[in-house]
Amino acid sequence: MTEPVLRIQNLSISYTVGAGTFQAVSDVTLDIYPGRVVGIVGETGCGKSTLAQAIPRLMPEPPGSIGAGRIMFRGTDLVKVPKSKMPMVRGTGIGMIFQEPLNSLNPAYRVFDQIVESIQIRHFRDLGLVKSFQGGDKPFDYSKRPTTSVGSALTKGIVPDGAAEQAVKERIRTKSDYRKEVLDYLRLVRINDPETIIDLYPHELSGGMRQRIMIAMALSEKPSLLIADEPTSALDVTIQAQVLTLMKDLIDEVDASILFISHDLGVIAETADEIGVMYAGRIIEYGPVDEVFRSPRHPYTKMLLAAAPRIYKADGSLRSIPGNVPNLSRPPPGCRFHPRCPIAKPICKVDPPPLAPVPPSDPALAPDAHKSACYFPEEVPGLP
Amino acid sequence: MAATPPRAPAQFRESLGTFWRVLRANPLSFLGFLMVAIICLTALIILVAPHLLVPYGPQVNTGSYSRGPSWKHLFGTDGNGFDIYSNVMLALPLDLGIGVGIAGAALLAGGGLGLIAGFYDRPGTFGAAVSLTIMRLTDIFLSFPSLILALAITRALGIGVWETVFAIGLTWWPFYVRLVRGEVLAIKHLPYVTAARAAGVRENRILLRHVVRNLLEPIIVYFTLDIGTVLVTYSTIGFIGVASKYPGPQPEWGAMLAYYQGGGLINTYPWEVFAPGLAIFITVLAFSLLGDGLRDILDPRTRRAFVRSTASHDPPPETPALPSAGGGAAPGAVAAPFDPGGLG
Repeated sequence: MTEPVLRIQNLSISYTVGAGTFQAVSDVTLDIYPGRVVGIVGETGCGKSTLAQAIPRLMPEPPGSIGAGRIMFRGTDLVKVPKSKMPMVRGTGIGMIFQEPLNSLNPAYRVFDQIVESIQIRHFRDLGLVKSFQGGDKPFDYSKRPTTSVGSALTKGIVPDGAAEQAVKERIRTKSDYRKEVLDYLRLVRINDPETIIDLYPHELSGGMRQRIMIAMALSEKPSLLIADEPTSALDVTIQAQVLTLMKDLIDEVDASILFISHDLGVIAETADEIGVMYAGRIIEYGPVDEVFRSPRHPYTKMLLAAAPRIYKADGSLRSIPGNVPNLSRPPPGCRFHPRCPIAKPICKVDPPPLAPVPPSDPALAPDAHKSACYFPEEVPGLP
Repeated sequence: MAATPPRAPAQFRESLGTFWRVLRANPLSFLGFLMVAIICLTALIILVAPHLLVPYGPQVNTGSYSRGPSWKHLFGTDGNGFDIYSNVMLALPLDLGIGVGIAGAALLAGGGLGLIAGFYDRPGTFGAAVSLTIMRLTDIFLSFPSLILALAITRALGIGVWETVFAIGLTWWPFYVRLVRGEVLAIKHLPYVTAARAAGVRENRILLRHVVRNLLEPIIVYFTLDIGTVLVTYSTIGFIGVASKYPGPQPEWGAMLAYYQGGGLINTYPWEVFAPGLAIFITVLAFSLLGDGLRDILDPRTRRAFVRSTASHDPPPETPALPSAGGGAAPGAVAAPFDPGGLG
């Protein structure tokens, strides 16, 4: 079995606001394997964005703080990495795409300058001109990437060892080199007429275009893990579909694992291989997307799927889950969903159920592929 | 860390062209630029070769007393027989230097402190303590009326140009601290700063490249307007009579105003007070107009708008897909062909 790119173990994150402490993420365990797309779905305020921001340590600390747990990224616990060293991991190690395409580009710079900054970060790290993070038992090894050019290969026999590499390191790329590379990335994110777009300012682009630029910026650093925090939520539906199509295409082209955060079940169903359903800071169900969508084994997932609006419904009604998301400064004891759960039993109010394997409906799956944090998963299929 | 790629001369020419187009589209700021350019050039000539523009020395008795404006004496003469035009012109380099110098020093000192105080204030760090110290010090200075404080310091140090400059400079920087810190606080929480951080950009570079670039526009506008304010403040102190002596070897507009309006002279010989007043007015106006123009040029949005509005005979490259944020779908985005470009 290959090592996971990202292994989150028992992660808990809380926010201290005034006198209250909000337990935004509690006891989350998650593995992301190379090349896999893991979707996290949940309501607003369930902690999914906090989780996304905590992985590259972008969450403001304070008020946020990581209470317990580990974020193992390629063998290094990011929780223990000093904040001043985190920039070495970000970008080339863990890339991120944000929700607000309208404000996520610096208004003062042209598209070219925005993307070049990302390309340069990767380029200088590749060359070893700038330190990238080394640590853990499996350090980020950028030295394996080819940095030699034809010129240095030719001179290698003549000049003493090391001098050629020094020459390569000192080789400064010209602006047209960068321009060519930026154009490549603009084409990669399917931007029409990149020669024009490259010289425009963000305010001259539409929301969908800006989000494509954001994606190009993130991809240009060739991250091994890409976190997409609701990348399509701020866009209107037609643009959303285009960006989603683009992301789906890119997932196959780009050699990165992806953590896809969304509140939209449809988006996750389209993109992800595995899905984690979050409720009130916990992952309450986890498994392959088809499996979870076909036979949910947690009442919340079941009701969430039933509540998803469809274009046409015979009875014309929109179903909802009764009750509200609990206040995370005083979460209910036991299972956090029990106040809204139709099959809650006395034990649900006392002990929080662990995320335990349930027998998958598809016999081809591994017996522990599908997990649910419910004491009575067998009762879930009977729910309306 | 990252050296920006060398700028091609073509791009420099392009920015120069943009600059010119914005100026052409906005006659008032064009006037501001022109006036500031002429004022600076005049000041330079007076410093280097005064005889080209100034016919008389500061304390030369021309032999005609208290005469109105004429071709020989453009702004007339005063009761001592001094040529007022010559005195006003000789005061220009000093007053201009004071305005630009004090405002510039305050911009650098106050702006730098403001950047530090605004950006490195994460609770529980050493920076937070520094930030707190800077801000309390600023508050102390701001709690005094700056003019009164500058007057008091000048009085304590003694009458003189440099004493006054020092006193005004000492009271001027806190405004920049507060202004810059406010801008930094607003900008550093914007999504593009977080996005830069997520891309692996280091904190210091985020401050210099992403934050400073975006506060440049309000700060430079404030700075150019402030040059006028400093000038007026200095003239006020000069008017009260604690900055410079007039008549004297180095004339100064504020002191001239004070001298010529005193003792009822303003009723009998109004042209005497008119000349230094006009000089202050024109200089302050020039920098105000310049400030407005600079704002238009520094902001990419207005810059582009001006470029488009004036680019009828040299049209910019076709920009097919440019709906604004609220403009709906982008045709370019809709029709994006499937074109797997491949990485890098």
